[in-house]
Amino acid sequence: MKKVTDADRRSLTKTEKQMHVICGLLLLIALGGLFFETKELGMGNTQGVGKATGFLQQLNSTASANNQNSKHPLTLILGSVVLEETTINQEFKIEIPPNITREKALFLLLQAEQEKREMESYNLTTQYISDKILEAQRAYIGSDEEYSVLVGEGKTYTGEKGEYTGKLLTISQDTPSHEIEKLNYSKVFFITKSITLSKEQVYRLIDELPLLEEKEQMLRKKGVDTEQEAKLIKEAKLALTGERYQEAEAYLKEAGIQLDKRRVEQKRLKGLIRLSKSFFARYWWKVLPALVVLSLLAKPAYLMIRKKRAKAKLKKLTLELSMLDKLLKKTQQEYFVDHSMSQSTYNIREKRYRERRTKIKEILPVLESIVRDQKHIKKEREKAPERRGVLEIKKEER
Amino acid sequence: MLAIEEFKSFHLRDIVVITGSAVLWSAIMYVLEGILSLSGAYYVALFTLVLFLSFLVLSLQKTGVASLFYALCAVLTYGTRELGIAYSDKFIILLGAALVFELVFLTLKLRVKNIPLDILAGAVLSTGMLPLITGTLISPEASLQQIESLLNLAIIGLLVGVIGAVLAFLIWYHFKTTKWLVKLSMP
Repeated sequence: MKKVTDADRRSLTKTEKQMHVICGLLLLIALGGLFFETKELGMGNTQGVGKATGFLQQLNSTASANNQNSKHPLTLILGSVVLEETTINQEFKIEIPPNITREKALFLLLQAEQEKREMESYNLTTQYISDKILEAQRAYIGSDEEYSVLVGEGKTYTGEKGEYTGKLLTISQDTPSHEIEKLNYSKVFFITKSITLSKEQVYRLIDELPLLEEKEQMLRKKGVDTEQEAKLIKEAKLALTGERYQEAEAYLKEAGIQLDKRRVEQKRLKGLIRLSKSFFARYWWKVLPALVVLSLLAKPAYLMIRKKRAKAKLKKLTLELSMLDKLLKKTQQEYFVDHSMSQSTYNIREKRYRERRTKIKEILPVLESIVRDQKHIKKEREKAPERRGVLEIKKEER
Repeated sequence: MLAIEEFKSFHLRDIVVITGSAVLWSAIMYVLEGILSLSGAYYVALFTLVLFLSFLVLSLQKTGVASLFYALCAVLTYGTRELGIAYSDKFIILLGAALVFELVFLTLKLRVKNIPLDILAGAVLSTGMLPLITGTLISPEASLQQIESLLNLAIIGLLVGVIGAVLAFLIWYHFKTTKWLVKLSMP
């Protein structure tokens, strides 16, 4: 059986050490990666992971792809475009005051009509607004019991209000019985307010649209791929003409965010390219002499370092050589004079010392030549008599 | 090339150890499911699963350990959702992950500085593949649409797998000369 030597034990420990280092590194990398990954998911806590694991729960509970699309906050897929950052609001959030008078409701209706006319003057379709106004008017008119009130108002009001009350009377007469609504001034307030907000939204969208288009075109000209953003703008336009203002706003917002991202990315890339290119372009007159100096200095520096290292090694080997001589003498004395050493031990030691001596003696001349100046060697070669062939010498002797 | 030398018959002691580990893991899951949040439970479930699996395979060095262990875990935690899945889905998905492990274990025979890379890579890959197998089996369409979430889960799985497998290896390495582990590793 092979005995485990000290050297074996040392190598085992070394392997174990390396194994522990590798394991430690693996653990560190994994922990760092986990930290980075959880941070990338958008938190210092575990919400993001929750979101991701929640996905598995959703998958398991519903297993329905369509439901996933509309509910998951990460991506909202509509038609051919994907909204990643924005969501579409379904309604405006409007706070309804508690006491709305009939007079106030009539005023709001008149205001809504005015807003509709304004939108028409901008060549905008107002089909949806008209439907909403009719809904509000029916909520103002109320059921048959309130009809007499409306007739009374028609007699009392003059001017614009009188005219409008007359129009409301006509609507009341034309409304089929199943479409009659109960008197509800809160509804009138909600609808007219949402019309006002829609109008503001439309104006905002009309202002934003050309700006975004311009931005998109500018980036496209610069070679940035803005196909997705162009698609989003197109969808926004379609939604705007189809009076789907909330959808149009979401599309524009998304397009804006994505375009900003592209712009930042493009800027960063451009900056990096400029930085790498302009370094030599800007500092060529400094870089070139520096390169020349460096190339001139490289060889002497290398020779100097080589000479220094060879000197140190020469010193070490010379010392080792003298030590080997001493050891050899000591071994010989122990074996031949003192007889305190066996022959086999003597042979082994002597062999080892001699081998090492031979090796050192082989290395020493090489190191000496490195340490001695190259110029010296050249001079020595020049001083040495010229080598001549045997025939040449014999000829001279004759 | 398959390492056929790893196909060894199971002894009673092997089955007892695997069942014991599965029972222990299930008990931990039942306790932690009530305490931890969804994400916390997911992390711990993955980590302990890969820790137990790696330790068992390192100790027993046999093909089929992973499949048996995962199958038992799935049966014992049939109704719980610590991995986001339950019932028969859990059984199929865990068996799929075990299959990934067995394949890597049998094909990749590599040892670097005493570290058995076949076991480590198998454990890491099977943990990383767990969310992907889940997504593919339950709803491929939804998985494709939410590939970002799924990939994040897979990366988390891989990283947790590395931590679990390396820790299991270090624990096993320091106790491998104990009486119990020597007995277990005996053919």
